[in-house]
Amino acid sequence: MNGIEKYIKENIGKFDVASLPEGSRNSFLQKVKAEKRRRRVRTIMLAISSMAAAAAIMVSILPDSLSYEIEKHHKELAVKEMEIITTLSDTSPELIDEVMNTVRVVVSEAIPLEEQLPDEMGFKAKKQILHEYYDSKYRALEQIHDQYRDQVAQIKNININ
Amino acid sequence: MKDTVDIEKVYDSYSHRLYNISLRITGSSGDAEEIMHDTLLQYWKFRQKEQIRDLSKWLTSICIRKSIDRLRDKSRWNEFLEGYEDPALEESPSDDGEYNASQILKALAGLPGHYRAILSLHLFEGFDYQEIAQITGAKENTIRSLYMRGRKLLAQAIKTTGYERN
Repeated sequence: MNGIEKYIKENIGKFDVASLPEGSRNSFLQKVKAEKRRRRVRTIMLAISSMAAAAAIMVSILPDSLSYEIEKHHKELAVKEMEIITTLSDTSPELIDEVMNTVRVVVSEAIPLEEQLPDEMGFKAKKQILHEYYDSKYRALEQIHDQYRDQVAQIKNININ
Repeated sequence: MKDTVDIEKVYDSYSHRLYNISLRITGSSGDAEEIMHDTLLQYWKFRQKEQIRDLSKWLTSICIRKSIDRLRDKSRWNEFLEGYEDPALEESPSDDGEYNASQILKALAGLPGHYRAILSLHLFEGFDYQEIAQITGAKENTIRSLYMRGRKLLAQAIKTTGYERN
């Protein structure tokens, strides 16, 4: 073994001397945060797309039925959810979680309404009740969307200025 | 939240070492920082973390490959290796002089990328010619020959920096 090799082998610890550029740690954590955000948005969008696709298939299969009406409303809610997540896509993972939790509370159904409707009720009456029920959910999602769209716009303005 | 805390711990343990490995190979602080970040991000995204037996080796291996790829992008690495003709192997000059780490690093940083990368892999990371050939996709004989030539250039550059210092 020649001198250089020998010196390096015996003093290997002396060679990792370069210091990291200033702010490197923060810059790395920002990259992690951005990646988390992308990952979260992808997952949610995939879930919503699947719901919308399933609803679209149902709508094409069962026209003029209660299922048709229900899936039509589910599709509308899914599209609104997609709009909300798109609006939030540039914000923090924490805000996305917070908003999507609220959205889930709005759209989730412990016992689907159609199962609570009496059998003797006619199709038109059931359709009307379902319409009002899902319409209230849709309006709640619209409110959430409007609220956070303004908030996101304000954040973007602050960042620009 | 937990995985963010975990990646911060991994960052604190390995970032400095990975940055230095990549810096020796690429010769660029900006590239080395980016490669160190990419390496740690790749670990963070990797789903089968329990399969990694030796994290230090795993990270080092990813970091080295990314650094070589960066050199490939920046220089005409493949053309150089394909067009490289093996000269008769030269004996390394006798170099029993005195060294210090900064002198060696400075001399190494001044070498062309191919030599710098091969010397770094052999001298600092302990890879043999066959392993370097696998990493770089070159023939083992070519690597051996490049190493000998690079080694000679390094010794000359160290002498020059030594004269400059004196």
